[in-house]
Amino acid sequence: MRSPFLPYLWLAGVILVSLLAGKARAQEDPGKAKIGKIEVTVYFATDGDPEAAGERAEEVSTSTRERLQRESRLKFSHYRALGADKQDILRSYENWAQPLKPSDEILVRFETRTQPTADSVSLDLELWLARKKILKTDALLRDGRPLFVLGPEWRGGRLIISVALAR
Amino acid sequence: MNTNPDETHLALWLDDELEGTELAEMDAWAAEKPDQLAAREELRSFRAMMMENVPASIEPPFPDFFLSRVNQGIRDIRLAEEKAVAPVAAPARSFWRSWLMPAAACAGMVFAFGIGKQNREPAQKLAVVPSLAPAVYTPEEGVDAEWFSSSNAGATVIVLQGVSAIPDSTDFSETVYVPTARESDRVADSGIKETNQGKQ
Repeated sequence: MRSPFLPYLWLAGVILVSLLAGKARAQEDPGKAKIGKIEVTVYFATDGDPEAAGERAEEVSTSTRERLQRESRLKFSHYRALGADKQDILRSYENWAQPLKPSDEILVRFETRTQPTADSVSLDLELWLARKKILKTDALLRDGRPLFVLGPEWRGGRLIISVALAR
Repeated sequence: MNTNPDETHLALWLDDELEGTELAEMDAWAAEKPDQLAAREELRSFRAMMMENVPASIEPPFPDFFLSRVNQGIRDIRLAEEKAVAPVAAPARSFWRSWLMPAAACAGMVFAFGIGKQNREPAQKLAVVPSLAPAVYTPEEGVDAEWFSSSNAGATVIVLQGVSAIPDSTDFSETVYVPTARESDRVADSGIKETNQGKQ
């Protein structure tokens, strides 16, 4: 014979499951929502021997070289890509890019200032070199318009840190 | 009790939590309602079954809330059955509580929001509008930063001066993630392509 209160037990079970599911949802932090991406790339720029960057460093494309050379302050004879890191922009939290991982010689800390639009984002951005905060700025990154930071000297050249919106 | 009890009293009565006058009033009200009496008996059976099967030293999870939700489920089922039998017999008070009051509350909230929006200063900004020239700060002593917008490179440029050189002994080639040519050039290339497309 079927128990008369069996439907209520089913109901109780459903309620219990919904309570647990609701609790799990409440534990998800909406501030960790990913609202965009940035890509940080480090270039080695030099008028000397580009091989100083090491054999594994890759020569950049012609278009990249021409773009950098069009700006007199960034103009060098040779450019090599040393590393890149793409990281999420979080709604309420900071995030870090480590383009030369696992080395922490160059780090970029970033945090959104406003809700990103389809083609731009305003960031609080910090550049850390050798574990010291060297630069702090509020950068407005637009799609296709990166931020270039002409950074420290190294092996007869300079490092250029590019921060750009990414897909 | 001539009028229907509220949900709190009904739930307490179903849980055998009422005493004294309130219990007497509820018993009098329920005396002519065999369905309510049956519901109470069913809950008593359920509680007895739970007490027999659950050790006394272990509390069931959220017992008060758990039982109140069970009671609510029973009432909802009964209400649905009553509505199915006599759909137009719903009392006006119930309609007011279940629909009109929430609707009035929502209308009030919308009205208050509209008033607040109209009274806001016209020049007040809802979002931070970033300036074209960003603030640049160099906390390290002896380090300077020069910011400018480069139309030639289609980029924003910051030139750091006075920053300590990275020792030449630092060998990134041993540690670095080397991107493919396509990846390493994508950042700079994308802007050029879009710029060229814009000119065409």
